[in-house]
Amino acid sequence: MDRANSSNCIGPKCKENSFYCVSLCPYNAIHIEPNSDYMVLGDPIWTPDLLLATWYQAETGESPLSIEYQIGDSGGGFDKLKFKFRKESSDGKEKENIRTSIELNKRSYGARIEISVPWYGAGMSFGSISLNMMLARAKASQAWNTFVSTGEGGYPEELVPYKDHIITQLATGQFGVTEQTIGYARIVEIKYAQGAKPGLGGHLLADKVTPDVAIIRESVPWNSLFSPFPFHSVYSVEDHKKHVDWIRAMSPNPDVLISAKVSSPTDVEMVAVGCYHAGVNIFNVDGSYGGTGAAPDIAKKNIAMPIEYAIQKVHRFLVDEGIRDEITFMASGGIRNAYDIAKAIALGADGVIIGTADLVACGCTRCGNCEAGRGCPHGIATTDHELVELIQPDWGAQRISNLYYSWHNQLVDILWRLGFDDIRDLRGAGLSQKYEEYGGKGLLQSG
Amino acid sequence: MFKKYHIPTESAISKKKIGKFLVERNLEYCINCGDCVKACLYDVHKRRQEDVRIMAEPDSYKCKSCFRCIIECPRGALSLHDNPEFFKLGDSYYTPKMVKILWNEAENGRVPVSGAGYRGDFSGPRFDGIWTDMSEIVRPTRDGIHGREYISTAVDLGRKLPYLKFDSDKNVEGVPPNVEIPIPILFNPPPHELTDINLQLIVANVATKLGTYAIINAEDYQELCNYNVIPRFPLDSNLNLELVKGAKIVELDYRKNAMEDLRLLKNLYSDILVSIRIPLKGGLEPLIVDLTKKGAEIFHLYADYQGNEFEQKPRFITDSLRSIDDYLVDNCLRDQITIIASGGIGAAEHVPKTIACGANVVGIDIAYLIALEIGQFDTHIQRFSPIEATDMNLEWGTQRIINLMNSWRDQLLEVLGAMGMREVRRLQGETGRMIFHVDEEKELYDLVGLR
Repeated sequence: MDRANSSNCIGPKCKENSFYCVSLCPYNAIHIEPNSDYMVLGDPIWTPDLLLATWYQAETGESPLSIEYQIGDSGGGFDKLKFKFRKESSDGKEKENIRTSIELNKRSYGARIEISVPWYGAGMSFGSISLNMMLARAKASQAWNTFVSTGEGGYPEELVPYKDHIITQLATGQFGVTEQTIGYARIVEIKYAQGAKPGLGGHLLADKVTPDVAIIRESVPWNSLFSPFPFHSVYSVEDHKKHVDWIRAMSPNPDVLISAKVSSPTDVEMVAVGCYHAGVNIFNVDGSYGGTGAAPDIAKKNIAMPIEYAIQKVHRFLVDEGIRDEITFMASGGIRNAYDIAKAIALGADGVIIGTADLVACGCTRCGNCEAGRGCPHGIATTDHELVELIQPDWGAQRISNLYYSWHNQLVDILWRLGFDDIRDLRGAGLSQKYEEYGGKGLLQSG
Repeated sequence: MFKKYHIPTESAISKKKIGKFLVERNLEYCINCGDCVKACLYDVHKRRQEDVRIMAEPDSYKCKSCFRCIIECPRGALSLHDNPEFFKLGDSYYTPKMVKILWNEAENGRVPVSGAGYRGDFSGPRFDGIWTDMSEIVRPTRDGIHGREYISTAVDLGRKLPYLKFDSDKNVEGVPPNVEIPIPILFNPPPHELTDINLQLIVANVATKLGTYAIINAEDYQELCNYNVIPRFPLDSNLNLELVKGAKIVELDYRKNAMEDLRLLKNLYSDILVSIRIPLKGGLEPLIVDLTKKGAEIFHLYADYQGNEFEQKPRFITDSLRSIDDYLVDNCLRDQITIIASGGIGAAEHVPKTIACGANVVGIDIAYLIALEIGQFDTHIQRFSPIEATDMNLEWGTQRIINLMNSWRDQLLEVLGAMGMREVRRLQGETGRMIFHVDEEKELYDLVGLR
């Protein structure tokens, strides 16, 4: 006999079945034990189950049956909130009319852009990830009529065919940003801060500044690139407005949308209002447990608050200021699955931004070694010529697309079970204790 | 000319090689194809030197648990396990993870940087329930360790005037003596089982090189008087004031007539600073205010090695400090005195958090012992096994702690920079720039209707 294919084993609960191999074997030659690899895999936030579930969905496009794919084990935030559903799941036709699209522009000016799913892809630069990975994400975004951001590392030529689904990011180092790349974009994202390293600039350590990366960033190979913080052209809210106006003036596209990405300080709601008055279309808060290619551990753990706490602050303040329906509020940083997406929206966001999950779909194990050496051993967060071949753009795009397909189904199911037919109605519904149909008990319960 | 404070780091390799993972090769399944050699970026897998037909035992210490070899192995011969040795490190407070971080910081002196997002629990008890603030847009002080602008980590020890008075010649009157140290960190004496003179020498040496101070036993002062040390008179010791002749700062365990002793010292040695060392307990506030009014200048409030008060139902050092800080602020006395806080400071982020909760300076103890890879300990029952410090290489030991301090200072700069603060003095008592998990959770749960 060859070795058993253990990954297909459904575990000790198989005991009930007539074909349970352990009891069938006349020589007691088979035994089942927990896989030691599983015990080492993952962490409280991305649990081994969430990783396995994401891989499963990326492979099959379906929700896994025996893996926990809805919730992590971090003991707080999304992992302590659960929906109170009122209906059972249904495969029926009723779900066909449920809408999951959101508007990215609620202002009177600028292009009317609607994305088909309530999420788009977070910025990951060329250098932090490979070109193949960027292409995979771009293709998946195109397939799902959504977007993906370039991150702060230039706009490789190969991405231009997907430009209608690519956000050009302008961050503090302004690496590789030109008038031309701003011109490509329907949306330009100004990155003020990043959740994983709030108050610090981007980090690309020397090992990863390969000659290709150095060329597009107009820097010197093998020298660490630390982006400054903050924008040295922005020291006040007025400067911020100037910045936004400047991009609008510079872009050949008069309808360009501007997004401001900030982190989650104690006064995040004030920042939101400031961004509104500066004229941005999309306001993005990146929570402190968000992803990164390299960040000081002290910043990841300790600086600023997780997105779960920031969302309601921003949402309620914008409502109180009477400007909630003029700005699109996207939450990011720690959104791992469809349930997190729904929870973030229920707490008050219009939609979310996805980063790490895209990478996990392509085989990331979240080992956290993206920052140095040749980079990612799985060929994702690297520009090493040999390693990048591990991910082919079409394969990666299909994996991400499969994951999105599964998420979309789950979201529709969540909406159905909560009694909504449009994701836009879910926004902030979790905060309303008076939410009538729930008898004043709210939409969420502790998990 | 202005001289930027700089801590000279140099690699000081860890002697203990304990990795977090064990890579196991099942020789029954392994076909010696060598795919794992190609797959691994970290040199875990190699062929045997003496016989290249066979794979060598994996070098688990180098493993970074990326799972690449396990995925690539065509025979499923490799598996990954947690290393039980790793989980024996430290104790319930100084977790294996913290020990490993301290070792790495002491080895290379750098800020730990890694890829991927945060990977721990959402929040936690003690320090883990506090996050620090940041600002999106402020003036150009914020490049942290990479920047052009200077963020000061200097603090003062000593009494401050509430306002200035000038004499007829327009000179400021009666300015009390002060000592400025360039980092807000002092070295607490090691647990007394470990008061090995070689260990004290290493710590005193570090303190001197960094420009800060190490607290030592007054009895040992004459031996170490050329170093930056603060001799301490423990409660049960004879108050032999001759012993501390020449010291700039002296520490006195709090006793009934502490203020008289303080005055005796001050009369004997002009310009000497006296720190009163008080174990943290509930209800200390009135005592501290009283002593402050009587002229005390520095308080060293110490918790146990896990940062808990010496009480049946102890509060954690941060809570304890917050209430003392508030009380002093209410009495308009806070800015006149210096508070040193120690106990349980075991990671870089604990420094800004303790300062924001009310301290001016922190004292570290177990953290530097861990940096020196000193034996087994259990801070819960305050027990330490005998150490290998007697024959520890002075240079290696000194460099390890210096590296640790550089790493911590750089991380302090990151935190201050993110908040847009130009100096650590301004962080003192700034609870408004901290985010407390309990408060945030309550706010959210009230809104969604959870209790």
